[in-house]
Amino acid sequence: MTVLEGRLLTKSYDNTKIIEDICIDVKKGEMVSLLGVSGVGKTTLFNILSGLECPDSGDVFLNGECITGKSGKIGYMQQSDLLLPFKTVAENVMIPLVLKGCDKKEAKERALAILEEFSLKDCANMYPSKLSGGMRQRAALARTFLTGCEVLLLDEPFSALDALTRSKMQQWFKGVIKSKGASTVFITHDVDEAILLSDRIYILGGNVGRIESVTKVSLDNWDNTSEEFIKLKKQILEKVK
Amino acid sequence: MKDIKIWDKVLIVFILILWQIIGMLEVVPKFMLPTPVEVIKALVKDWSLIAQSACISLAEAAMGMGFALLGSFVLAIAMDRFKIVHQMLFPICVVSQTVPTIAVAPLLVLWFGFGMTPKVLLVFITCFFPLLVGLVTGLDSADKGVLRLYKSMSATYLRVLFDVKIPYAAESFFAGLKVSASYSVVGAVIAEWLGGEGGLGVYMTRVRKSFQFDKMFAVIIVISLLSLLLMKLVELLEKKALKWKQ
Repeated sequence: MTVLEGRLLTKSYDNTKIIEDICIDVKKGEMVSLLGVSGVGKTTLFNILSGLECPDSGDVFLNGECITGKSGKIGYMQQSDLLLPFKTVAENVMIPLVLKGCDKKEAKERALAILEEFSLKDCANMYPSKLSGGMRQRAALARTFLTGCEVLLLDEPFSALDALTRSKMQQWFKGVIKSKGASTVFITHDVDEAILLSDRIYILGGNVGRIESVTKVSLDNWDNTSEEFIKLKKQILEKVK
Repeated sequence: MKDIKIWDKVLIVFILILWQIIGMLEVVPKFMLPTPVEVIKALVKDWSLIAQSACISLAEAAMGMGFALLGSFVLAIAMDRFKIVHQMLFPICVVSQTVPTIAVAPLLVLWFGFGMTPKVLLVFITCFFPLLVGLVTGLDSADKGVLRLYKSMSATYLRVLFDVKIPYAAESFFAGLKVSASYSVVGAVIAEWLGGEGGLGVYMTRVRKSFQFDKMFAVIIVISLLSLLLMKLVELLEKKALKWKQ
């Protein structure tokens, strides 16, 4: 069942077309990634899907309802963790609930519960500056989950992390997303990451961003040194070029 | 670091000793440059009158600061919310700063008499701009990514203001508040120079006219100490408000 659908989305800035006729769909519980070189319009597409910007043409549908230009319907985690430095981790995580008018006590309880799930309960009363990069990303993801949105958009969630933390986070992230049954779309530049985390990979390319191809990922061996993995990676790299 | 810190104190002591020696040798006539010891003696002798005057000046400074705080908050938020207000009023505020306070003071006395109003108004005029600039800059410094995040969660302007913009503006606001705090006492004293029933400025004018320069220096010290005290108070407030920075 399709949860999120973007239909023929086109957007220009200052008469320069950034993306054109993009069609994208995400099914319930599916993990979809957007792969493409810098400047191809991935973040623009996310801004449109999240309702932060209106497309010049085309529409966005959530469970069949048109949500074009309407924010607050889809959870959006941007490139950096964007934790507010003057709020504690728990206060940061409970922001979406407070904004929805949830009682502060209840919001805190729910924030603490998700922080426990994300192994961050001990850091609940700390300020973000005391956390490591990986912990900050987990806190930001916890906050995105608490938006309660059915679909989550994650813009390069691991780009700021070092290779080791990144690898750990990818495994952890996959487990969490699957256990929560969330539908996610995430942007990445890393082909390995896209293969590892996605059910399908959309490849964006061209001078004006377009969907060049869609690759379904179904591997028996997820080891990134396996022949199967490398073959798929080569196929995708060919398409990205 | 500790060694460096001690040198400023050593320098102050050295200047005081030098000043005392110059005074004792009467390089400058005594009535023009009293020695530090004489200044301290004058301060002790006239303490009750100086303290009473200081209370009046502080009350004027506090009232002026209070109105400046209120005014700057209202205007800064209006400027942040409506760009047209910013475009219209901010240049006027900048130009208004080129008018020297001392030139405005006689006009205020002319318009509002010798009571408290012109003093409070002058403190307001002096303190308003640093506060406004601090707030406008601070409100504008909020992380654009965080603003987008709040927008993506359909947050209202008021929520963004209290949750994001004002906390981000705190640091810059306190910088403006520190400047204003030191200006406030000086502003009140300048206004009192032109006439009034009490206050450090009135006291200063009286002792100047009677060539009691030891008392003049004593009151200068009190004004400096009051400004320093207010600045320290702001620093304490800042530390409390920005505890996440420690």
